[in-house]
Amino acid sequence: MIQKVITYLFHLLLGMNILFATSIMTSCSHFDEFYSASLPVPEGNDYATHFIIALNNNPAELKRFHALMNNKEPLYSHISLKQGLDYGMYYFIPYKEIGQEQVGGALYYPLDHIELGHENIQLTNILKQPKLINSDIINNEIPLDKRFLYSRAFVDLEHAGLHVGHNLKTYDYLKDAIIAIPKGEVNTNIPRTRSFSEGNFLEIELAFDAKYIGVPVKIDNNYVIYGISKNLLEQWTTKVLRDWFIQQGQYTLHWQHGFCIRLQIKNSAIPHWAREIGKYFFCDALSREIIYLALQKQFDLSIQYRYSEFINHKRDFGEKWEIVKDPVKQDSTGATTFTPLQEQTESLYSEFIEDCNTIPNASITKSDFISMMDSLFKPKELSGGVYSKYGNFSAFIDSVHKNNNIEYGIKMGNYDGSTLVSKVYTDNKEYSVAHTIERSTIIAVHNHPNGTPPSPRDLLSTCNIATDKNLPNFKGHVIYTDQDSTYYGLIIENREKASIMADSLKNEIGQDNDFMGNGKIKKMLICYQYKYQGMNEAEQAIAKLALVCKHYNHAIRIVSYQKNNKKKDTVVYYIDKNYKPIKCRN
Amino acid sequence: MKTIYSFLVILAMSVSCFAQTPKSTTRAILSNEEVFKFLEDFNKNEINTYIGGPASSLYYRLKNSPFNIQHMSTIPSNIWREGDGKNYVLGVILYNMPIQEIEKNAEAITVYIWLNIDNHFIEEWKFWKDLPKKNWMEGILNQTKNYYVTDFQFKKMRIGK
Repeated sequence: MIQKVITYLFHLLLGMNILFATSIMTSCSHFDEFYSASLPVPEGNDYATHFIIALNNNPAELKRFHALMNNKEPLYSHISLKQGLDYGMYYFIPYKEIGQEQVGGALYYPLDHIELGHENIQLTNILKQPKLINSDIINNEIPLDKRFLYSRAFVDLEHAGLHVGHNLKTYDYLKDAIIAIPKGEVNTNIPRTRSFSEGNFLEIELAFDAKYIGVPVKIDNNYVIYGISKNLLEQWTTKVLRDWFIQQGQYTLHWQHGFCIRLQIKNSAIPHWAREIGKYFFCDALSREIIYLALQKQFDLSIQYRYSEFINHKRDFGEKWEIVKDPVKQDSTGATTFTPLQEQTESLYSEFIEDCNTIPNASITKSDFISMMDSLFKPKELSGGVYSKYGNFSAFIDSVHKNNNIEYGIKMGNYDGSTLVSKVYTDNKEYSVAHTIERSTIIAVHNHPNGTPPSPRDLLSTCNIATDKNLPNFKGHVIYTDQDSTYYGLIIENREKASIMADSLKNEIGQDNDFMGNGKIKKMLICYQYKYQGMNEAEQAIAKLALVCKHYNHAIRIVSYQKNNKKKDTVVYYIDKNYKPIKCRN
Repeated sequence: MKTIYSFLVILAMSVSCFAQTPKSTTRAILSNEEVFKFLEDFNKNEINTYIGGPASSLYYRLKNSPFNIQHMSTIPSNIWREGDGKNYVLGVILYNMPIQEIEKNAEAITVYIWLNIDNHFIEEWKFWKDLPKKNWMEGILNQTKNYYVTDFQFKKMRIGK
């Protein structure tokens, strides 16, 4: 009986062992499968695609990635490619802890690359030892004078719409600010080369972190990006120093570990504007200039700087002077990154937009102007007697052709029962000619020797005549620019509104024909300059004048007219209620 | 003792640096009177440091001040005064109000920074045409940062009818 029980127990234990061993083997097999499973290649983020391809091609790294991301959720759509202080080129892979809403940290995954010259960098699929960065590491392990660069990366994620743990962003407060580095916090007394044998100098360490804004381009099956190199950073740094007249010999530049430059600059070489404000200001201005240069090359650069001041010092009772760190000044650190001024997101215009429907009565304005211009050009055959006092429009054009250094005038009206033009007149002045407008005058024409469109004084003159009840037939001024054979018309659209406009403008225009600098109109035009920034010279000038017309409820309308061979090109200009520049052509 | 004292001085300096770097929320609650007062003090005590220096240093200072740059433009020369009919950039104008507020006739404070740009004959329209459409305000600062500051003015303004 006892033997039977022992035999039963033996078989039971054996069975359990086999079962246990099998289960271990099965789970090991699952473990391996899990940790070597290829990851699906994500779409929509080129950097993530490249990272996953590199990972899938490297089973050892894939296993390591799975292990590091255990209980974590990598945020593939936010992977970016960077070049930074401690890792060279690296993928930045933010993650969340499973079940958490906030970003908990990021994996810094260095990547091997080949510098091809001309700032081209070929990406490889060779990944190197990654490092997991979380708030504990940033706030305790990373040296104080580098922490901003880590915190900043997480602030960028927040700007991209993610929730980020507060402790990851702790050192972002160093942006545009400085703090003294407590002694012992960072090893700032490491031995270093003294660049100068005498004189006081400032030592600055600039630590960089750069984010690529561009997209990798495939060339011969390799992915190439326009990258940042140490050489380029050095060029930018020396360019800024050169721009500030800090000559070679007054500073030295040495590369430190990683993406970090150490500069030693003689105090005497520091520009006076920086010397008077403080050394922190010099460091910040230097960083800012480098960041500006980087921006022009599509790099989003962050810099954390640390500076120390060195002075000539005589040891107690000693004869010999030596250069030592200023004992009364502590090392300080601060940071700079690019933060654009906040602009309103609205439309800016590089040309007048074609839209005849928005301009009220555009076709009437055009046909009226064309008919006026036709009357001007029509040859007059009447001569002698009462008609001897009238002229021909071609005489005006001839006068301008002969001498376009002064202004000439001519006017058209209903004289002696016909529509006739006057003789040409001039005051022999560069910027003015006086018109005598009569009851029968319809339009007055003058040239602008400098080729500019109608002036503010032309606008005021048009409004003044519109206000005069004794001059009901006057339709407007025409300004001729011989340089491009263009006739600009300032046509009265509404006499009542023009009267209000005349009253407002009378104190706004100076003797120089322009709006006065201290006037409201000039200030308004300067304010809206940005709207029409992409336009060419003539269009910008017309837009400004049209803006003034808009300001006074479109009392006056601006038209241009060109006649090439038999083709007439007529354009009406208008600024709508949303400040959109509109034109109606033909 | 000396070290402790110097540490305290530097600490105080850092605090004042932070004070000069107000967050946007701090800026928003500053009234025009307070901003104007800051500019009066700045004009009295600090501006001489920046006159003759590169504009970048003054831009930096103003960016980190109670004057909140919300809109920008350029100081034009007079198109009708120049014999060649061209208009040139003479300096930079900063506004502490966005254009939408200025348009509603809100009182804005403007800062005029005159630069030694006048003898470079930069045509206004070309200057503006070359600006990036995105970040055009930073573009103005960037394009002018290396010119030297020759004069500084500030005033209140409205553009209403």
